[in-house]
Amino acid sequence: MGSEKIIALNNINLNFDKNKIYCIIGTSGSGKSTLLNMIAGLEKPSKGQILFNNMHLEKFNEEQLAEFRKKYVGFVFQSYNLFPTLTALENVCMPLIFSRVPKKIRIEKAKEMLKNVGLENRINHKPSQMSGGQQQRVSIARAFVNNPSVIFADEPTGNLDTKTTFEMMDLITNIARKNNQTLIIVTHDLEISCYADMIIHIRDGIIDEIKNQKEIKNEK
Amino acid sequence: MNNIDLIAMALKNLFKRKLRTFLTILGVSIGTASIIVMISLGLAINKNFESQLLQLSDITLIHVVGVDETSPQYQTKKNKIKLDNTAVYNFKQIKNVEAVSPIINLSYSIKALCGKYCATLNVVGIEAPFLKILGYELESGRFLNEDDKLNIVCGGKVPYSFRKKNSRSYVYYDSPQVNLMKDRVTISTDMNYGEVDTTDGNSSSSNIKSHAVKFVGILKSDESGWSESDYNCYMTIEQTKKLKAEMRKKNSGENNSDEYNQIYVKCKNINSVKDIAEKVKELGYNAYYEGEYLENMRATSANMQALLGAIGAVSLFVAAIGIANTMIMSVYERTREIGIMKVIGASIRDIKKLFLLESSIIGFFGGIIGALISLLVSHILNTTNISFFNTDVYMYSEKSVVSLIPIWLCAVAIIFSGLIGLFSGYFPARRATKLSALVAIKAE
Repeated sequence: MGSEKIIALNNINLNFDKNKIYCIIGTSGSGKSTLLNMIAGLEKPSKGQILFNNMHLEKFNEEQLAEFRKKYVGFVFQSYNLFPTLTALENVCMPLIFSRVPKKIRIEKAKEMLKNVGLENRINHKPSQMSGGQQQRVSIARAFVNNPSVIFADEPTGNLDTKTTFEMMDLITNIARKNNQTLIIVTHDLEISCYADMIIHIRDGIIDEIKNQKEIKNEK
Repeated sequence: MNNIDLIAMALKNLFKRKLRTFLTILGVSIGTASIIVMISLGLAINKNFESQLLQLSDITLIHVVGVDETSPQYQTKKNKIKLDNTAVYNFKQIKNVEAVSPIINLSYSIKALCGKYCATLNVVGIEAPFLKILGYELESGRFLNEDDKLNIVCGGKVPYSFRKKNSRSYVYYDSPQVNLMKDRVTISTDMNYGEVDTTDGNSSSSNIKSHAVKFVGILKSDESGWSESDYNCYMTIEQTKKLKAEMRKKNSGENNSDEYNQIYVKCKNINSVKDIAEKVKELGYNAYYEGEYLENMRATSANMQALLGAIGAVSLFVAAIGIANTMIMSVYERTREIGIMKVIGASIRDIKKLFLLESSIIGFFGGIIGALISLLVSHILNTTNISFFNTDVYMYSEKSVVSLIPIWLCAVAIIFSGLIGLFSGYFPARRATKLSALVAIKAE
C-alpha cells in the first residue's frame, strides 16, 4: 500500500497574476490542497516547475523556502492554527518576530491589523476565549500583518457558519484588494467562488475548467 | 528572529510547562551540586595535604639512615654495604640528585666554654655547602667554607643554651648571655671541661685537651615552630672526623670506622624524591623522606576522589538524559506549534536555536541552583566539621577544611551544565527542524 503511486496532480499548467483573487474549487481528494501547498512552497512537486517572480521554488532548500514564506506569503487555515497559549496580539506579532521587526513597531502594526479585522477590543484574549469567527479574524490579521504579496487560504470558512463565512470573505477580499495582494483561496464551497476573479475547477488532479468572473456571471 | 525575542520566547515556553521545567532543572542542579561537592572534597584534601607539606622541614631531602639487612644487595655483598664514602659516591650518580652529604653526629658530647658560661653542644659534621642547600638562612655571619677548620655555624637557639658554670639547673634565658660571634670560645671532648670537679676542688682543665673555636655564623631559627637546625653546631666533615677520632682515642673501646651516622640526599625537585628514594633502597639502604607517608595517604584519597567523582558524573549524566527527555517530549507536544511557526516564516535556524536555547537554559539554571546548593552543603560540612577522610598527619594542623569550593569551580560547573543542556538539546532540536511543516500542521 505504502509503495503504491498516487498521482495527486497531473499536467497542471497555471498562471497567477498579481492583484487578483483566485478560487480553486474541487471536491475533497481532488488535489486542490496539494496544489495550494505546492504554490506556497510547503510541498515540492516530483516533477515540473513552480515559478514565483522568476524564482524556481522547486529548487529551493528548506531554508530558502522558509525565507520565501517569510517574505512573500501569508496563510489562513481552516483550523485557524493559532498558538493557544498566546494572546491575539502575540499571535499576530509572530510573523513580525521572525522577520526581526523591532518590538515597538511590530506591536503597533499588529494592533492596527487587529483593528482592521474588527478585534481592537480583544487583543489580549487567548484563542480559547474567542469564538471561531474571532479566531479566524486573528489568523487573517496574522496572515496580512507582514504585508505579503500572496495570501493562501485553505478552506478559510470551513469551520464557520454561513453568516460568518460571508463576513470573513468580505474582510479577506477587501484587505487583499486594498493592498494590491494576490489571494488564492481553496474551497469546496461554490458560494465563495463569487468573490473570485478567476475560478479554477480541479477534478482528480486535473484542471477541469478555468472561468473568469464574466463567464460566471453569464452562467447565472 | 533576534536574540532578545528568542530568549523571551524560550523562557515563555519553559514557563508554560512549569512543573516539568522545574523537575528537569532540579535534576540538573542535583547532578551539578553532587559533582561540585565531590570535587570540593578532593580540593580540600589536596589543600590540607599541601599545607601539611609546607609544615615539613624539607620535602626534597632523603635521609639515608642505615643499611637494610634484609635487602638482596646486603645478602650478597655482606659487609660491603656501609654508610661510607662509597655510598656517598653511589648516591651522587643517581639521576636528579642535586647534592649528597654525609652526616656525622657527635650527639651532645662536646663541651664548650665561653667566659663564665658553658654549654654542651650537638656538633654535626656536614659538607660545607650543604647548609645553604638545605635552605637554612643566616641570622648573622656566614655559612661554612670548604677550608674551614675549627669554625662553627650554629643554630639560632644555641646561644641560649649557655648556662653559668657549675649550675646544676638548666635555666632558659630570655636573651643569650654570650656573644658567640665575638667572645672567645673553647671546646673539648671531655664533659668535665671547664667545670670545677667538686671532689678535689680544683679545675681539672690542666690535662684536658681543648680547642679554640670560632663561631662564624648563626642560623635563623624558624619562628613558627621547631626546626631541626636550632640546637645544632655545624662543622665541616673533616674537622668533625678529627673530633670523633679524639673521642675514640679517649674511650678506646670503640672500633675505628669510617662510617657516617646518616647521609643526606638532596633531590632536584619534589617529583623525583620518590624515585630516588626507591633507588637508594635498591642499593641496600634504609631511607626515608618527610613526604613519604603523606604520599601514601594522598594515593588512597585520590582513589576515593575518583570514586566520588564518578558518582557525581553519573548523576550529572542522568540529569543530561533528563534534559534530553524533557526536550523530546516538548518536540512531540509542540509538533503542531513548530509546523505553524515554520509556515508563518520561522527559519530552520530559528527553530533549532529555540530548542537549543531552551535546553541550555535548563542546564544553565540547573547549574546555578546546583552551585548554590553545593555552597550550602559545603558550608554545612565545614561548620559541622564532619571528616570523611582523616588526612591530618599532625593533630594540631590548624586550618583543615572538609570542603573547598573556589569561585572557578562554580563558574566551570555552571558553564559545564549549560553545555550539557546544549548537547542534550541537540537531538530534539534536530528532530524539530526535520518536521515537515505540512505534516506538523495536520497533526492533531
